[in-house]
Amino acid sequence: MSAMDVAAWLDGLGMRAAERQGSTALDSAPDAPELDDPQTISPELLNELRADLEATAAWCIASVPAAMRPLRLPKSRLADLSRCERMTVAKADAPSFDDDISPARFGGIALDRFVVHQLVAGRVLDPVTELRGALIAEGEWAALDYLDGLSDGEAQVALWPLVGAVTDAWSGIEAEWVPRTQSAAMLALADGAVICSGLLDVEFGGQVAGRPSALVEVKSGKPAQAHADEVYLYALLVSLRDGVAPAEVARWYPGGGPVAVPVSIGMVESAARRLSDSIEQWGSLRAGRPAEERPGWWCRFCPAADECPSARVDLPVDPDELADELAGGFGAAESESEDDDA
Amino acid sequence: MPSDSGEPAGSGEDIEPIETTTGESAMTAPAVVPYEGLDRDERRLAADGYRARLIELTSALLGDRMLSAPSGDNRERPDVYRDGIVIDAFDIAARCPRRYVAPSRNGYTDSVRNSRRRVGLVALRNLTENGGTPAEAVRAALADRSGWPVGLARWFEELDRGGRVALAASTTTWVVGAVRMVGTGSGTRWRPPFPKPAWTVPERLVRLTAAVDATAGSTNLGDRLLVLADRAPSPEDRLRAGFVALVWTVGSGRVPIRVALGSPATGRMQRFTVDSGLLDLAVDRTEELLAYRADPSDAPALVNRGCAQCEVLEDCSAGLEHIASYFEGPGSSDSSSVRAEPTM
Repeated sequence: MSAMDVAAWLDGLGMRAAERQGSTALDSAPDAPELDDPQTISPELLNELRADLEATAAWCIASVPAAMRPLRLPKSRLADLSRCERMTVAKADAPSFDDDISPARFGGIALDRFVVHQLVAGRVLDPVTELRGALIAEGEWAALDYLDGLSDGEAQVALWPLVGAVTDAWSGIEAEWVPRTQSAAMLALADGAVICSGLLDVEFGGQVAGRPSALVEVKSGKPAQAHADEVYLYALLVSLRDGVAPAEVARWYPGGGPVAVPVSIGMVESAARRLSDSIEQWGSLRAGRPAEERPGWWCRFCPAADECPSARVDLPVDPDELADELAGGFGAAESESEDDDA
Repeated sequence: MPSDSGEPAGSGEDIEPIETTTGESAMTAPAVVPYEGLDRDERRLAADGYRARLIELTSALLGDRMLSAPSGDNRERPDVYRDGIVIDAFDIAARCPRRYVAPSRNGYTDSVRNSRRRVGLVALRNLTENGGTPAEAVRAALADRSGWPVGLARWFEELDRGGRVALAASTTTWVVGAVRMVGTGSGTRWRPPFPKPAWTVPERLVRLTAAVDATAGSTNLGDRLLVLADRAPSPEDRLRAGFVALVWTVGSGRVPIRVALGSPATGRMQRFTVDSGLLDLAVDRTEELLAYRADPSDAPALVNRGCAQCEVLEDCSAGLEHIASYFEGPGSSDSSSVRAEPTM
């Protein structure tokens, strides 16, 4: 699929939807055999998934002290929980952690902005100036400081390859797909005491467009299983938000085409199970269960590494995982903001 | 209780068809007066009553302070924002009184996040009047800034291409979220982004304000109000809805019959039937906040999870103590931890 750009993927998605519509009309003819589409995600299934998650949340939140509520589960926390519980707790209690801008994270931030620019106004002509303008308008001061700390030459070298990749893959998308960028999808459970949130890099179609709904997560690292889990979670969140599942979810990496997967029952069910497990895990930690220490390459980025007896800052870093860990995109906006609740 | 928060808002519908529920509280608490079903004169009379209550409680709290008549040697006309008290719906669920009364050190700054709703409301009005796509409606809103507030227009003029693209993209996303919640039906009247509904207590430097994104209904049958929020629904939403209803009541001189709080990020719409219980809740909270603002030194610190990010933390002993205990308490980063068993 690497040769395919986003526009071609969307065209294919639109055609397949039209074909299905045609065959559905045919199937509904009086003499047509009754066929079940095994991938149809019904409203009843979504209601069941929501009810199961509500039950888990209600059970977990009962033991969580009021000072620890609401339990927030942005996608970054779900990933952290699968690595090391102590690091997850330490990062949650270190509010300034998200302000650190690394080269990889800066690349992720820039890539997201260039995709936005391509979708709204076409090709980026002057990446440094236009990125700077976007960061100022958004008040993304840490990223702006990082950009301003680069020489013009360093900035051009860092940014032009990203512009080229975005131009290659994201040109020619029809406006009728109504692209939306940085669109929020949240699931509030237990009367808002448990909140799982996601910020979708790009959404296409849906009821507002009269076309199939599709999501794309923009990634600046290399493909990893954690990325697939992220888009499956987004498929679940959007399904529960809209009452209708997206047709496909995709990841896009610079230099390739969208890696797309049809949204299936199995996908949303497994995402719901994973989320349910994470709610239990995070809830029990916030209720006082001792956090497990699980050393790994992530130790060198853990705020508790200095005090943690298990920390292994000497472990080799997996470059793909590292790129993912450090590439923030609009991640700061997705991370929990206790400030809103104070 | 919200009359419904259980199902996603009806896409493609406007406010009118989704406002179909009846008030519960009127059935369970006889002292509560529902306003739906009253005629316009009765709803006006009720609004007059709430105005009188707010005037009375303001006088009781402030005495001869915060009067709007010019005073002092230079007879400079006082300004409510500079010299008075403005209570906005944004603050109504503030957890900590100490933080609420403290002057903000960071202050308000224009940004994409702070501007997209206001530009988005202009775009939604364009969309209702002219049709087209959300992106086209946003482009039109950005091109014709004749009706924008001065500060917002000035900020936009200073943006370069990258900043304007960021604003256009974020606004389009906001507009699509709004349309997904309530549709583009003619029954929904998107409000201009400014001025906010507001009411200034007569002869006082005290003002209540609350943003309302859309209205439906009529003066005869009663107003229905819609407020869209970026946040997820929370237990404080009944209070938020009550305050919005109160500001509308005293500002317009008529009690609305419903308030809907929409959360595009979750797809949930909570609908609150306006009755005297809802408005009384808001009056009580207004009195509480007004008292804190009138005598800031009496405002207690109410510690909570937001203390770690509080901008007055360094001057707040209760907050500092809380932070110390918070980082040592159960579930915190300094609580006990155990090494995981190897999983090989």
